[in-house]
This record gives sequence, C-alpha cells and structure tokens, in this order.
Amino acid sequence: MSPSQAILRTWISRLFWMIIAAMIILLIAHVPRGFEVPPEHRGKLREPAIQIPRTDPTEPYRIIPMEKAFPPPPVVWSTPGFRFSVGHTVRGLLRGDLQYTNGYFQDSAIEAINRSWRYSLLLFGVGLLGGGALGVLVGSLTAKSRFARFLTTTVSVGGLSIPDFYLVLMGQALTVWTFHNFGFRLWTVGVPGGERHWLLPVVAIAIAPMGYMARLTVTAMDEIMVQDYIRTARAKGLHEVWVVLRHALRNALPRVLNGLPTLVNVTLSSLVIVELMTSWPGLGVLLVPDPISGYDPRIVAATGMVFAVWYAISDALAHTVRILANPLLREVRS
Amino acid sequence: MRRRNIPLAVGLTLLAGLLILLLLPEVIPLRDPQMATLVAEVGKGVRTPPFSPGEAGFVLGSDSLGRDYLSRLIYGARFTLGLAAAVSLLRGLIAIPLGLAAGWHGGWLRGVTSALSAAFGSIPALVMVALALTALRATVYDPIVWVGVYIAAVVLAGFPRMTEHIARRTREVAAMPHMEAAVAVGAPPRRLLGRHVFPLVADDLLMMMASEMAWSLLLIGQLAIFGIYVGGSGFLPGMTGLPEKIAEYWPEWAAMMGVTRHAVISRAWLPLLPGLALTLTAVCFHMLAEGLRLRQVRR
Repeated sequence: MSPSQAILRTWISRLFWMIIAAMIILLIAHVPRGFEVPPEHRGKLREPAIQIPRTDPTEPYRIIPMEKAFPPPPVVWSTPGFRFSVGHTVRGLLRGDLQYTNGYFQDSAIEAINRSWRYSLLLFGVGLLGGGALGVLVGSLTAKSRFARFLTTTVSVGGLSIPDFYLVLMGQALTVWTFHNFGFRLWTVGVPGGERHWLLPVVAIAIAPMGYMARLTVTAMDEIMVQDYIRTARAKGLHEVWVVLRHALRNALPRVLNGLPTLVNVTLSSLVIVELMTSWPGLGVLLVPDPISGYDPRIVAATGMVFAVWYAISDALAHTVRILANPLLREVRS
Repeated sequence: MRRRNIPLAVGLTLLAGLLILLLLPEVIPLRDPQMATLVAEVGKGVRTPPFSPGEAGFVLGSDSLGRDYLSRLIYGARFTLGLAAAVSLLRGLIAIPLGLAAGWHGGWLRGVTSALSAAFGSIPALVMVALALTALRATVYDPIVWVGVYIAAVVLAGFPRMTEHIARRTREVAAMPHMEAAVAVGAPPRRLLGRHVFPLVADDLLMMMASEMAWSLLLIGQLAIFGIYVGGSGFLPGMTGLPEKIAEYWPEWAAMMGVTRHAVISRAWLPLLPGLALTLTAVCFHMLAEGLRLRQVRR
C-alpha cells in the first residue's frame, strides 16, 4: 500500500468512527432524560426513611449513608421523553441555536463552545507539542552519560506515573504555602485569569507527554546506539553530540513518532482534568454539571461531540505523520 | 556485570508496603472509619471538624465530618485496591480468551475485536466513561448497583484495547518457527495454543496486568475529580434532621480526594493525603510493569 493510500484509509476510518462516537455520545448524554418520576410520587417532600439519632455533641457519632436515610423516589423509563430530548438537541444543533441552562440563565451551547474551544486548543497544542518535543530532547540525553540516563529514566517514569490531578493539587498547595510564608504567589489558584494563571495548567498538561516521549526515545536510542553505523561515526572522530543528533536521533525518530496516536489520547484525557481543576476557560468545564442548574444533556452532548471530532482529527494527523515518517513507506513511494 | 533492575525493586518494595497497609487493620487497633467526633477540646477552646493533623488526637487530622483520616486512609487501601483489582481482573478475564481466540482463528472474530478497539479508541476513555457515568448517576441510586455500573463502565472502556494487544501478540507468536515445527509434528490446535502460544504470551500478560492496575487507578482518580466515585455519601444531620455536612461514605482514596479537592487552598492535607496514596500505588504498578518489561528485554 502506498503512503497516500494508507493516509486516505486512515482519514476515512477516523471519519467513520468519529460519526459513531458522536452518535454514542448523543445517546448516552440523554439517558437521564429518559427516566422520570411517576406522577404519584411527584412533588412529595423527601422525609428521612430512618430515625436519625440525635446525640450529645461531645459523644462520638456514627455516620449514616445518605442513600439509606433519604431513599430517592422511584423512576420509570420513558422512551417518548428520551426521544423528545434527543430530537430537541439534534434540531438545535442543526439550526445552530441550541439553548441550555447555565446557572440561572439560558445560554447558547454553540456560543459557549465557540467561546471556549480556542483556549482548549491552545493548552492542548502546548501540552502535546511542547511536552512531546521536550520529551524527545530529554530522551536523547540518555546516550551521553550515566547521570543523564538516570535523569531521563526518572523524568520518563515520573512523568508517566504522577497523575495530572495530583500535580495540579500539589501546585495549588505549593502556591498557597509560598504565599502564606513568603507573601509570594507562584500562580493564581481557583479563578481564571490572574498572575501566571497559565503556568500550572501548562506544566500539568505537558508532563505526561514529556514522560511518554522520553520513554519512547530512550527505548529507541538503546537499540540504535549499539548499531554498527554509530560505531563507524564515532571511529570517524565525529563529536558525540553530532553522533546523537545526526545519526542516532534521526533514525530513532520514526519509532518515536509511532507513539503519537497514544500521545494524543493521553494529552486529550489530561486536558479535561487540568482544565477542570485549574478553572481554565476551556471545553472541559462544560462537560461537568453546573452546581446550580444541574445536569443538562444538551451542553454535555454538544461538548462531547466536539471532543469526538477533535480527537478524530488529531488522531488522523498523528497517524499521517507516523506514516510519512516510516522509512519503509518512503521506500515504497520512491 | 549484571545490571540491577531498579524499577522492579522499587515496585516490589512499594507492593510490600501496600500489602502491609492491607493487613494493618487486623494487627493494630484503629478508630472506626465511620465514627465522627462532632466537637473536641483543643487547648483552652472547643473546635469543630475538620481537625488539623495532630489536633485533638487525630494523627493525620480528620475530614469535615470529624472522622479519623489515618484510619480512613488505611482502610481505604482495601476499597481502592479492590476496585482497581476488580477492574483489571475483569478486563483480563474478557480480553485474554477473546484476544487469544481472535489472534489464533482470525476471520470475523478478529474483525469484531479490531472494530471494538477502533470504536472505543475513537474518543479518550476518560471522556467516554465520565459521560456515561454522569448520565447514569442520575438514575442509579443503590450504592451496590452503582459499584457494578461503575466497574462495568471502566471495564468496557479498557478491554477492547487489551484484547487487540493480545490478539496482535498471539499472531506474532503463531508466526514463529517453533510453531511451524509443532504443526509439522501434528500437534492439535488446543495443544498448540496451550503449550506453544500461551507461555510466550503469558510473559506479556503479567506486565499488561500491572500496567492495567496503574491505568485503572489513574482513571478512578480522574473520575473522582469529575465527582464520579463509588461508595455513596455520608452526612451529618443538622438541627432539623436534614443533612448539614455531606462527604463521601466509603473510605476510598479517589473519593476522599475528589470530594475535598476544593479544600486544597485552606486544608491542603484533605485532598493531598489520599491523592498521595493513590499516586504511590499507581507508581508502584507502573514500576512493576516497567521492571517486568526490562526483565523481559534483558532475557
């Protein structure tokens, strides 16, 4: 198969699965609208189902599960309700005017997405490209010295193992600590905007791609640095930096780029979490039910579908780069 | 000189620590993780929860309902590891036979597993699982049923990828020269699969299961940030009998972290301690997977 055929096949397959994923998201998001409380149970005050013991506050008190004390009203499945809700969202999307409840107000889902996607794309791009490039650089250090190898292994394993949510939590706790002790704020926490508010999300999102790429580069470099042509290059008296950059890294790169699709997946998952935790004004926040108005399937479905499209395009691009970087396919082309 | 396998050593050390943590409630007396202290004397005054570490006899402090955090963290190992192990084992139970069969027989089964892998890979697992569970949470109230739904969603999101990996590896092994030799001497398919394919794939499986544990733990943690966790909620009744303070019921690490994540500004220990426990456990399984990979490469 020629590279252009392989690329075309990749894009068609991603387009197909994108449509399937968008449909699944649309249906799943509307499931709660299919359930309704039977008329005889509507409007009743929820009384505690069990006698809640009142004790002397100085005595220990055993916590009771909420679900046991306040059992929810029974619900029944309603296909017309589900169908109406899905239909409403589809019609709204086709019209380009899908209203949803945002707090106490009505807002347009399309406009909300339009306001947010650029911020998400920016963070995604910085995390994917910046983190990935840094990872390749750190990974290629492995050929230089024992200390560099130790550093690379630590960075790659650490970057992959430390979860994004814990990095954000630590970053937030750190800035609170520096502010309390030294009166210096590293970055703003809890609100969008403010001093260096971009720094924590960027670091948190770039760390996993960096770790992943560093690990891939280390594995590829391990195999390449023992090849005959590397020994020949060294025997010619070439400086070690040039040996690594011109001979080793150049040949390792196709193998490293094989990991791009996984990298896209990892970064996109991280994006949602990092945006949510750092109050980044991106798409991730729209996926979470509003604390005032509650769950609204219209905005959740619309945002989920944007993620499906986004992921399909990024994944197809990653596969395209991988195919173009594959020397075997280049040979076929020539 | 024989090179030391540091990741495997670190992974095994952390695993030993986890096993100790699992057995600790049987060895030393701990406070009941659901027993709340509503007020406590601190110095000359009286304080209400949450208590800081070291305050009112709480070594690692208490949560907002006044439950001992040390005890909840130690008991939490059972819930969190149990959850991650259930997810990983179920994924393995579905993916291993399906992957072996798809890789060995090929045909329509291979097509189905590839299609499933592509379908579930067409959107990040976190987004898919978070959407499904956010939608289902509004309708599933029973805590035990919810655990089942939660595990099913996390298993479904991960098993197709694992199946595809096993199928690919099985195909690689099936094309090896020793298989040709076994076929030539007339070994039946069951013997070929059991004696000649499975032992070679099994090395990968151990590594894969360790890796699955780590990814499951991370996914459980990420879902908790979305407010999706298992174990339900516990509450403190106010004067009217209605809930005054609400927090997670089961002492599960991800839930403890997710519920308290906004408290990082004022009471940092509340999300940081369960988050650290979750992170170290994920590191443990990542290291084990990395160590097993290194051992395989060196062999």
